Amino acid sequence: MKEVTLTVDGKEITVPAGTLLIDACEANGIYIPRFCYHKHLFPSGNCRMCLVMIEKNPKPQPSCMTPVVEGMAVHTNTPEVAEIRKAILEFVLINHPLDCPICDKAGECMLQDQYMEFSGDKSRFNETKVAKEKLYHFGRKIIYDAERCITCSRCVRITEEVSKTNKLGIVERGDRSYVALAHGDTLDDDPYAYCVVDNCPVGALTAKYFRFKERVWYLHKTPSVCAGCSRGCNIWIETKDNKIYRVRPRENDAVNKSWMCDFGREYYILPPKNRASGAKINHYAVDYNKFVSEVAALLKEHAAETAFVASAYATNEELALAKQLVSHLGIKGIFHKKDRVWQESSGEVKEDDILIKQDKTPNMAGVKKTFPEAKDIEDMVISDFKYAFVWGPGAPLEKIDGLNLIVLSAMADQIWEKAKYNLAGRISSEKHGSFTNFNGIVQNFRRAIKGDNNYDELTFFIDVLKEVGADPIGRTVDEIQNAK
Amino acid sequence: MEYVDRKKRGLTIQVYYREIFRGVWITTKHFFRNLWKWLTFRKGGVVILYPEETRPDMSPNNRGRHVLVQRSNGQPRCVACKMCATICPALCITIEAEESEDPNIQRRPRVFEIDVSHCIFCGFCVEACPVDAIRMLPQTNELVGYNRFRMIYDKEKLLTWHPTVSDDVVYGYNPKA
Repeated sequence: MKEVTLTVDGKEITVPAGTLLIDACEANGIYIPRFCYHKHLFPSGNCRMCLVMIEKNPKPQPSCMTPVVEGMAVHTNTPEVAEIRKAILEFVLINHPLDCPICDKAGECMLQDQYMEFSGDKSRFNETKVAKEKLYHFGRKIIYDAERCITCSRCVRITEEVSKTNKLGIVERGDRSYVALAHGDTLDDDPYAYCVVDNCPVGALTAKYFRFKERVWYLHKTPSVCAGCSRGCNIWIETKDNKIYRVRPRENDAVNKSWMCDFGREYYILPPKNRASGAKINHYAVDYNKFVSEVAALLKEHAAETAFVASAYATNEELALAKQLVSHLGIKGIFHKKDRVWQESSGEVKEDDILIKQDKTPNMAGVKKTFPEAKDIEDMVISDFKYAFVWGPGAPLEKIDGLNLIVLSAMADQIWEKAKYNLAGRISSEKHGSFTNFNGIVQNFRRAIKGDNNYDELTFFIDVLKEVGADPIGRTVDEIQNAK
Repeated sequence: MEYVDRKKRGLTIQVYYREIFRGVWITTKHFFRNLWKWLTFRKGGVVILYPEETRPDMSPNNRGRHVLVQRSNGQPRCVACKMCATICPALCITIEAEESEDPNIQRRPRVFEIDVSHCIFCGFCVEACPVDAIRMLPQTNELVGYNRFRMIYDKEKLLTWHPTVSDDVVYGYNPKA
């Protein structure tokens, strides 16, 4: 690619031709403040916060609309630019209410941050502020506050460019302009509606699920990977006191850019309804160690007539251990299945060409890579087997009914009730590991919350491997914690 | 085996008649001193009749306990922004927010608790409050409770103080004024 060299604040930088000036500066450590510019949206250049001085140009230029040119000389820290930024902030704050105590965005608000960094001036505005609609419901998900809105048009561009529903628009003019939906319309059927909340630079758009729940500076962020579908969007899970308060997309250009769908978000926010718990044999709670030894003995004895059904919710690490167990015991019948524990809702998008994939499991690619010989459970011949080790929820009941079931699952579904041996597992926000997405990209994630009354699949497979006399390739959580 | 590091008692303590007479002397001293105050009509003599009277020698700088300032309809002025809970060095303030029916208020505390047994009375919460919803009043100096759970003051208890002055007049400890 052709590269151009330009000078920013006396420093020579080289960037690919066609880069926007704001990106070129940021890549070289010079942050230019902005409200309306977003890396993954088409620039609109309406907030004027990113104005910089370019030599041989009589007026300040918006750096988010200016592509770099060979030999360009840019100044971003002159007194003139500082004066421009102060004036822009003063202009933006003319009608902005001081709602910081009640605003959910306080603590991560771009206007708050940039006022502290670039201005700090007191208001000179003596006239009456323009009062607008304070509480406007954009459907069941989002509330809009027109007074806080700085009409940067980011939300409008997200509905135009990301979800392509064209739901939002800016109406009226001047200090009366506000973001609006068509009369009677809502954002409910926009599958990427919560993205407008994440990317609102101020607190004009707030999500109802998070509204007034917790202040953002208390939340502990954990980098994770969404388990809602096989796209594997990178997300932040934000928790406090072992409870998930908020989920936000994490930027990754290769997978999800800056977006994630509402289905994935509700997958984490809404607590799972039918969680399994405990270790049971014949529906009676037993000690975990007794469970492990009984299951290990059973698998060892009946390896030839056992069907092993792998879970597409399992991490790659768990699958590697399961693979070791299966090959050590010589289990031949290996299957995979489409895990689906919740009912499909009516308006749900099954697949689109943006992010959402048809396959609603996060790690089907990992299962197929670890067990290349695995067949779909629909092709299973039931007369070949007497026992079935079913891992994960969603196995079709009619395919495995009549077999002696060992179920390792985080969800208590119909298979869980039928099983002779039950062990409760963990969901993806409760474990460390990695998922392989549909493109083959392996992504690590970390545990966000501590589950209670369930067991770690990783430790379970290691314990079973030890019980059957193999040398496991991993270590249990206890072993890692007690290691010298 | 002796596990407790006890001091050896001297002979003067072991012969405790001396200590008895010393105690009687202290009691007598206080009796005559209070009697003399009472005879000369000075305050502080005899005893304080506690719930009716408060101590006259309380310093004017005494901050007292926290109160939540009310709106005219009796609702707390607090918007549950958790600034006080964030600044609190003793981590004794617990707040949970909820949505108010009034769209002009929007946010109000559902739970507001101060654990006064942990509080160090630094006054940071009063300074941090952006809406002047929490103050410390010298009048409310009675910090009593039979156990430590009685010392957790909830929203109802913090709202028992009814302002006799206008909201514009800063009253109590408020360094911003």
